[in-house]
Amino acid sequence: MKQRKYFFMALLLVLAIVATACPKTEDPGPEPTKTAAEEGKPGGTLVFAAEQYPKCLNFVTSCRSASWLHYTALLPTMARFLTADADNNYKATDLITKIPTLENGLVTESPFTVTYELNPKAKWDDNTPITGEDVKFTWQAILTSSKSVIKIGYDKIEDVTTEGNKVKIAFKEPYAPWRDLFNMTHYILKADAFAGKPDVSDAMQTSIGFAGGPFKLESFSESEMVLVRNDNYYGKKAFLDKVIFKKIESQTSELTTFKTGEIQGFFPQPTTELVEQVKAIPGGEIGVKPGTVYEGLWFNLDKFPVNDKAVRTALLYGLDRQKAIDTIVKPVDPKATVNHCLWNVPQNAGGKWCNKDFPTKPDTAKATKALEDGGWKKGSDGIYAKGGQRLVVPIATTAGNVGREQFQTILQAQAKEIGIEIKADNSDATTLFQTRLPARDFVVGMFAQVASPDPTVTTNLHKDLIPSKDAPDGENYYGWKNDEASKLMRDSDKEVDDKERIKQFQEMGKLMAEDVMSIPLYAKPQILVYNSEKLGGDFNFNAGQLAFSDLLRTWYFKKAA
Amino acid sequence: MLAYALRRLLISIPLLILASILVFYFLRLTTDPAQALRNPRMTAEQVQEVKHAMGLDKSGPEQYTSWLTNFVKGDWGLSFDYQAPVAPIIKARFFNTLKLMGIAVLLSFLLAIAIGVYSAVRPYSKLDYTFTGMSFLGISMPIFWFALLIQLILGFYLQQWLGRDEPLFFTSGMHRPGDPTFHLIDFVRHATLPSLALTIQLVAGWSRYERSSMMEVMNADFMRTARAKGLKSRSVIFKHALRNALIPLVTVIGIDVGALFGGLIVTEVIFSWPGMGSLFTSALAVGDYPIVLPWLMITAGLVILLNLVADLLVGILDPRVRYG
Amino acid sequence: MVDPTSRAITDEQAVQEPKAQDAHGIAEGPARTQWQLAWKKFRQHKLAVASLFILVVLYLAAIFAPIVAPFDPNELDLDHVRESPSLKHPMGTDALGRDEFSRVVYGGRISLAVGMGVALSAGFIGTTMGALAGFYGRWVDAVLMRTTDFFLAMPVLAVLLVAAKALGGSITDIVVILAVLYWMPVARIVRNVFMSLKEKEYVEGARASGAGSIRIIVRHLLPNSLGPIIVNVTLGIAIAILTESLLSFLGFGIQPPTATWGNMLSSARDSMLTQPWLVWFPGFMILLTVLCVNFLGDGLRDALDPAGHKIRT
Repeated sequence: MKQRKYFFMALLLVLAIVATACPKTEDPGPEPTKTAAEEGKPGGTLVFAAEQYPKCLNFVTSCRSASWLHYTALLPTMARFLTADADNNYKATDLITKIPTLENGLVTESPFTVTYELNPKAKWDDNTPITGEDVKFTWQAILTSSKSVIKIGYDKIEDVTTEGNKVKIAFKEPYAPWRDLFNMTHYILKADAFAGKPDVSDAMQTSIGFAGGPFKLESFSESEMVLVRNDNYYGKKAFLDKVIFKKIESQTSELTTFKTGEIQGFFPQPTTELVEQVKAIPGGEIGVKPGTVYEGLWFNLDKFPVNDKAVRTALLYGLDRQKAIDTIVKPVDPKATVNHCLWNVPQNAGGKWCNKDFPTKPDTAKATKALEDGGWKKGSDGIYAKGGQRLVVPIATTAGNVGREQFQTILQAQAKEIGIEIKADNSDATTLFQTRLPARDFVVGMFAQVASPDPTVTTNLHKDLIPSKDAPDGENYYGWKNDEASKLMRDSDKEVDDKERIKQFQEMGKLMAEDVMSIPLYAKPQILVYNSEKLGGDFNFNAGQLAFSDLLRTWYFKKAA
Repeated sequence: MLAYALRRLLISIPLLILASILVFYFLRLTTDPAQALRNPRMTAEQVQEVKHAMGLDKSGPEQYTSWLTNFVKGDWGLSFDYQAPVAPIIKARFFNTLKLMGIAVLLSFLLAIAIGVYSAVRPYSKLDYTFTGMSFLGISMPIFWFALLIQLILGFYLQQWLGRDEPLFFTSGMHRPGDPTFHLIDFVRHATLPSLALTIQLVAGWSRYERSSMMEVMNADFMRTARAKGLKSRSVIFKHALRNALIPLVTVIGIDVGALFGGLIVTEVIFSWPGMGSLFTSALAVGDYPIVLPWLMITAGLVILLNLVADLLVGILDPRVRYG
Repeated sequence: MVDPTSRAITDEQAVQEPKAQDAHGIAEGPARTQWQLAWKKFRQHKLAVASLFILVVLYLAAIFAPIVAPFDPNELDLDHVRESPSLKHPMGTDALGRDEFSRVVYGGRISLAVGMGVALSAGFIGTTMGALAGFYGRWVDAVLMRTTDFFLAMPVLAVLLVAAKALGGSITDIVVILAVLYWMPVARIVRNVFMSLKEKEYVEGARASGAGSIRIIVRHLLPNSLGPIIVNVTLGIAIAILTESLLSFLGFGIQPPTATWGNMLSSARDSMLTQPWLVWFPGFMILLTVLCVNFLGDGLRDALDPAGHKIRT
């Protein structure tokens, strides 16, 4: 009797499910927008996976270190002066009429000022105009908020003044990387949204409340955020009604949900099987872009054994980096090659900041000679030793990143052949970047840096900017103390003439290579996977900080549901 | 009955306290709550400030008592990673997990009884062997592999086979993106695959246990007596045998709940279910211990509570226990 | 909480058949010991016998791995990556060109060693604890049993993950952590057996004739609990192997490039459709091993412990 009861209950449940399966109507699904009539490009709701979903929204505080915060909630919704095109050259946004240069007079050398001419139509999503007061407020917020981090550059601003639709930023001294301010990872805040109080430390935790871009953040929860089209946007409006960023942390789940259509795009880490798997999915399209994000072996020059230049030289010539790249990276990016410059990439800004400073081919003879000249002797186990210490090099990379771990394994095998023992010393990404790196608790780090269109490396490499309580903004985790290079860094930060600046960076590159202060690897392919059967628009994304966000406003659904 | 219930309750309380002490010290011993302090940018005063704010300058037992008082009050501290209070984060996830766990446990319970009883009544039949075989398979297969296969077959391949635009059973999340309000059918479609993964693993073990318990009971003396008295076979089975066979199953569910969390963690991660399990792995992975500590407390408390419920149920079902 | 197996424990699995005797009381016919009877019963469970055979083969392969495996499991061959199974590589190669078969063999070494190590350690700890609790009773029993209760109440996997993260993922760490978390079922059973047996007459008799506690424990009580202990230790192997693979899958266990079945399955999980051999072989090995252990345990229980003292974990 009881058995029968359960059986019927189960049957009812199954029938209920089947009943929902039959009518193929989609419940709250995409509907054509106003623009559909104009251009025949339906809007609809895009669901995009976020592999590293941001935990909070405030880009002035430490939340900003999450790169996905920018891709998802900020870049499509915030106002900024400049963006970057697909080749990572600076480009004007809708907010300004033209890029300030020396030629058009909007940049003056002494005193050093930059003037942005605002688009007279520029307004926030509530139709109030975007003005220089907002820019000034932002400057104050970044400088004075108690929880603000990384204020470099903003402390070089003397004042921000407004004259009509012109916003003049006056600097205390020439500051060459001015283009990064208010554009790359800091954006323009709406002064009215904060009641004029520039300490925004506790604001913007789970909502933003204003928008200056083609989209607006409607809601932000722990597992998904919803952006809606900003219908008051003063420039070319977006087609999509909604963009939902959904937290999906594993690539396996991303692939599965992409297959079933639960998501229409994602931005994965490169793994060797990825291209095959995406191509096997109907409608699966994969766009790969090398550039502006580059992997390297970054030395902590104060730690044994890489404090010994002989060891660094041996690693440079002893490892066959191209072979490792062929195995791990080429399946995703067939053109992947060893990078020949250190703190930049050939694909960035036409390669003008990247010179052929570093050798790219292995030379085991040179490696061996360097070690032996440096006093290292091969032990009975085939590994070099000096002064009773074996040549063991711990390399720290992000645990769980299959591609990197495999790369590490290949380097291990190669190093063994020339008598160096590489040890895996991995941590999860958060621990590595937020704890170990600032504490300089690593010997060699293997991870990626992001190149902004401006080549400045001062915070990362200046001898006075090794992180300490005296230099809290310093990011010279590597401990490079090269006087000549440091001077060049300061000079180039003030050098407004690009030609001169290029010469200075060439010098710096030579010095980096002479010291073998780190070893370049390759330009990390940035990958966008999207469903080309369902989506149309511009998919030629920028391979740097801005990734695909700028393109969101061009995307549309090929057919309404 | 009341005395029995009170006795069980009284035992639970020291157990809970013991749990809290052990969890607290375990985490303090094995984790480094001050890892953010290893930051050369901070001055000595700043380091002291943070230590004081985190209460790390007090003695062990002091830290424990202050933590415990805060915990009971509902103040579970701030998460390193989210930079927001821990309590609301856990609370939201908790109910999501409860939904999943509830469905799985209920379904497994019913199925285990159905299968166990059938197998006991018709032992060594073809169906019995099939069930036994499937059970062995179920307890031998790693649950994550099984979940991945379900995701692929019933999520993707089923969709292809039915020729649908959308999968019949969704493979990730708890609700449609952008629509967090509760819709029954939508919820069922999202919950089916993860519950199935959990259920099959539970049923595999429980049904075998139920089967052997039932068989023991059915062969027991009192059953023979009942049959000898001339009671009809069906009523004998369902009134007497089942009641007695339910007892061990209920107890086993109590014991298994702790282990259930293991399967839950994996299932939630694979199906991106926003519950306690996926919260735990992501918090642990980034070393966000302010979340890990209350998490362990809550699950320990939950397990103790469920064991208490199981004990009470057994007390109701089995009079021998109350007075023994 | 109620112990569902606390019905009268029969030690009649130690059935001694009445020996056939001639007129003078001298035993005739083959003497059958408890163990020989058990073996006879065991042989009747065909699946268990087959499983025993398979497991022996697997363990031998693991022990003699250097001979069985054709390649070094860590030897890279970057020119032959992700190849499907062939004569040279019967299970294909993985993403770095390593021979999958060799990796499965060496991975088996680790998985099987972890399984055995955990089962034996947990068995040892559990037996000791249970013996103490069962024999001395009263407050020793109360304390030990409450501890057991507590451990049973903990969400084991969660604690495991925290410990694994803190201590790192070396093999010894994993074995130690798992053993510390899994000794409880054995302890319970041993304690129950001891409790019921220690009041029996022959124990009284032994005490009366001056036997010390240890002697009683070892000579009289332990042998009778050996049956259920063996069953549970065997089943513990299954749980240990599954748990190790789960740890690896979640990224907390033994880290690559060391091969274990669990982390091989985990690294290949995206390749289910493109390089299925990388998923199916390690997965199948786990399944096969655990299945065999379960069948073996089932057979052992029929033979040694028909009253069914298995406490489920």
